Amino acid sequence: MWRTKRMLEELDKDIRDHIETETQDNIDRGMSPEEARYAAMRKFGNLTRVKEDTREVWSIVWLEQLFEDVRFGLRMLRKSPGCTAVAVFTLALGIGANTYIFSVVDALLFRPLEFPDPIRLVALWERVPSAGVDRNEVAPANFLDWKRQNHVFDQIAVYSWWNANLGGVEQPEHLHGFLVTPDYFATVEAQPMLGRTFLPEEGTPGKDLVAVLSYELWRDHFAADPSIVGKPILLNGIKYTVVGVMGANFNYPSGAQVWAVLAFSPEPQANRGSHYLHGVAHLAAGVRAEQAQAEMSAIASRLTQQYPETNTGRDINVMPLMESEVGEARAPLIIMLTAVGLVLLIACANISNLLLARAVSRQRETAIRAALGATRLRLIRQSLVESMLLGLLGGGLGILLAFLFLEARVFRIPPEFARMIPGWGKIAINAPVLLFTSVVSIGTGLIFGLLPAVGASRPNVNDTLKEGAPSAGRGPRRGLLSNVLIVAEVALSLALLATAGLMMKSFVRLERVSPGFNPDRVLTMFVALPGAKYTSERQAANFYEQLLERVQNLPGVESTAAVNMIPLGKRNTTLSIRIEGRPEPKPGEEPGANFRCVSNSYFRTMQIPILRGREFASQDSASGQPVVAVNQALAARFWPGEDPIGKRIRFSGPLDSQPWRTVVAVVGNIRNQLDLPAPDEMYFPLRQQTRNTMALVVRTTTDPRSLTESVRAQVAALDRDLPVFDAMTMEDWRSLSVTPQKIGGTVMAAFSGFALVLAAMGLFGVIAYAVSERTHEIGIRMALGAGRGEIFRLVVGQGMLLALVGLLLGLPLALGMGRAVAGLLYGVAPNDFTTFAGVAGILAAVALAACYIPARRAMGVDPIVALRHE
Amino acid sequence: MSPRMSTKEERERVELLQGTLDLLILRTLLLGPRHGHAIAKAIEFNSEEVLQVEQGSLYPALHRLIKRGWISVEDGTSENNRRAKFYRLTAKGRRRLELETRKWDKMAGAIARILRLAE
Repeated sequence: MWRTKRMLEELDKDIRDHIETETQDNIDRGMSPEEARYAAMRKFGNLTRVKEDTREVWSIVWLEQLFEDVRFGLRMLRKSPGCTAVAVFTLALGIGANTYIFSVVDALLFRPLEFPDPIRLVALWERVPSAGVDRNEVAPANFLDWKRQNHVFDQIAVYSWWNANLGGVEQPEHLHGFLVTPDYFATVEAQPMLGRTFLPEEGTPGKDLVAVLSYELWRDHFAADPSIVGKPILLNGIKYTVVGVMGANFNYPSGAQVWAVLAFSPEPQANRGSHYLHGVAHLAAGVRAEQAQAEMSAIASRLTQQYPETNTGRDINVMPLMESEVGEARAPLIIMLTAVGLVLLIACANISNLLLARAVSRQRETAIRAALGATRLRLIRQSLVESMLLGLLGGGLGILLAFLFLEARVFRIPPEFARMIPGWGKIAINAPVLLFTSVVSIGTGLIFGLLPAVGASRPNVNDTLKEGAPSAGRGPRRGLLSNVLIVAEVALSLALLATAGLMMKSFVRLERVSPGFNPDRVLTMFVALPGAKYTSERQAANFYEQLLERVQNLPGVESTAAVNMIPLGKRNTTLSIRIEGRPEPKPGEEPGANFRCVSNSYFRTMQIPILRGREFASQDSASGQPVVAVNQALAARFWPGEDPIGKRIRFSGPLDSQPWRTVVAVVGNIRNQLDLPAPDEMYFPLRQQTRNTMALVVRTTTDPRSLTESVRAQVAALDRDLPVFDAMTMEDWRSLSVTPQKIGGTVMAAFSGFALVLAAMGLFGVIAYAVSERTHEIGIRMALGAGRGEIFRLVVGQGMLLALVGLLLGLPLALGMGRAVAGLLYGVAPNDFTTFAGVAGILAAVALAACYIPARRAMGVDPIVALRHE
Repeated sequence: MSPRMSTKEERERVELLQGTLDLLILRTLLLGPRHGHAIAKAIEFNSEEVLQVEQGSLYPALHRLIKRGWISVEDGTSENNRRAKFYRLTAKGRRRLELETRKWDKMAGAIARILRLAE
């Protein structure tokens, strides 16, 4: 450092001596002193640059220059506060939106579940190609065969949903529990924070009354008691021993609060007909997923040969676990990320234009810098540093906006559902998000800064510095660049608007779909009767009938019913059936239908029309004739053109002892998902088919929510240990079922609206600038007799030409985007004409408005003033 | 170069190849320590004024060579009795010069052969 300083200090003197010596030489050769000095200077070259180059040899000069550039850049930004504010605010919105979306994508897509070695984890499903089902739950006996026969996994486990009522506390609470085979935790490589997980011997019935708690449950319900291990807790009225507590990071399956052992008693060990297990496996060392798939498919075909009755047409689907967990969210999230990226690109184009305009007004400054010896690279760097500063300022503000937006929780999802979305709880502005945003901010600065920087780095020193030169000589290149940017903005905006239009239209269509019942003023809540206390179907049915009677008598209740599965709840259960009088179907080709167990008042309460026959009544009891109601879809499928009343159906599968059930009613179709056609469906009366977990549906005369507590009290009056859960209105269920479309449509609408504003601003800026540039020309035209209308058309024509080219170029882009979102659309074609025409019209109208103000100003030009100007 | 040069001669001058200036400086200093202006003059004179050095560009080059340790700098007195900086070739610089000269000869020879072949 010291040597550097000395070397540089003496450089000036050295150079002075050099030039003097050369001057002396020239004088000796006969030049006049003045001539000699001039020649010596010329021979030496650019003094400033020589000094700078020499200094560069010694120092980490780029760093010094960077500081200098940053200081200078900040000064320049302060000098034009209006321009800076517009740019920073635009960027803040653009980068903020990107930060927001990225934080969601990062949590939901990139890091939804934390496993030490996620690459080796796979989900195992049964695949039924003939039914178009590739993710069917596993039957227990099949799983046991997979476990015995495979050589590709070093661990394989299954789990199933489990309603666990936590008792022995002030207010009983329903927990999202999971029953897992003992090797489950080893399979997903999870270590407990306290105690242990399950032991192999706990997988036998009788030894299985042990539980592992989630971190949150332990913290919130057991006061983070460090000595919880070994203590008993009451689940579904049975005493379980807590053996461990998982760490805060472990949340698989998503939303799990408690895990207990899934112990197979002999009966399920032979069951290949009930599909209710979720498989997860850990690939053995060196085994790839494709190899595992090959072996599992071989096992599946062996099982088909061995058990043609149950396993015909059943393959095994080995899926990467992450894909299985978050695969469905990928497409919409990627589309949103793309869209928000495009918005930022439009913002970049806008700011590029702004900077191009400013570069023109700063031509003189640039020219002076160049004349003083700034190299081209140095000029480019200086202006890139300025734009990166803008980018960083915008990014900083953007992070703040994203944070506020996240805090505002614009999209509300009931917590009990949100917790089941893998990664939902991790959405936050955290380190990876901040890193992403920093990179985006700097990258953005580079993108929008590059064009103006390169453009401004070639100043025409001579012309610009001449006395009296026009302060802003607008070159044809800058005009062309601006026009290209505007065209690109319009094209991208069209693509975004079209996508948003399609998604909004799809959402509106979906909202208008009738679910087949009336969701207004219906309160729903679930009750799960513990099997230990309610041992028979009779007991369960008794409980529900008593409960319905009590609730029916509450003030404000119009009608009430019980059903095992809420419509629009997205879950369903399919049963294979036989139709009387039809030949026995081949294995694997049995017809199936959804089924629901309902109380007699169900159709009335839900206002599902009974089209033929009668509603269930007291004679449909356990001892009465077995009956069934079918929906229109099922009737049309099996008895087209016939009267289904009196026809008979029975369950197939291993439960062949099932009696024939007589069809007593045909009811209207209801949808389980608004975007899917109504499935074939059967209904059974509560007395003949009961489930322990049922939902109460209560149609009220007032706000349904206001009855929640009184209904809950009726449940407690019957069994004080019984919690209710998922207490929501039917309207909540409906709106929850369209939430993804709602979020997608709203977000896209917001983005494209922003894009539209940006494009309008950009177009306005360019046209206004062009008008101010052409004041002189307009003045001449007017002096030569051009009318105001002609001038108006001239200006508007210029702007609309740009908009039109943008629209034309944007059309294929928009069609491409439409195709990309086709899979997310309901009831609207990806090239829907009205949508495309509509958004193009909006864009054209906005473009016209953006040109209008500058055009008015052009019309107001006074030829005398304009011609005197300059 | 002096302003009396004719235009024809100007045209025959050769701009220095990137990096060759370093080599020329080292070669000039082989004959003994010199100050900046003298180095420039020597290069011009020895090349019979074919090689044109923009004299300013000498200084970054000199500093580069000092930094690499190929030349050293000392105070001295010039012909016209001024105190000036004298640049001296170091042992390291001498070795470097030998190496670079060999490389240069090889390359120049090779290029010359190819160019003649093409005729």
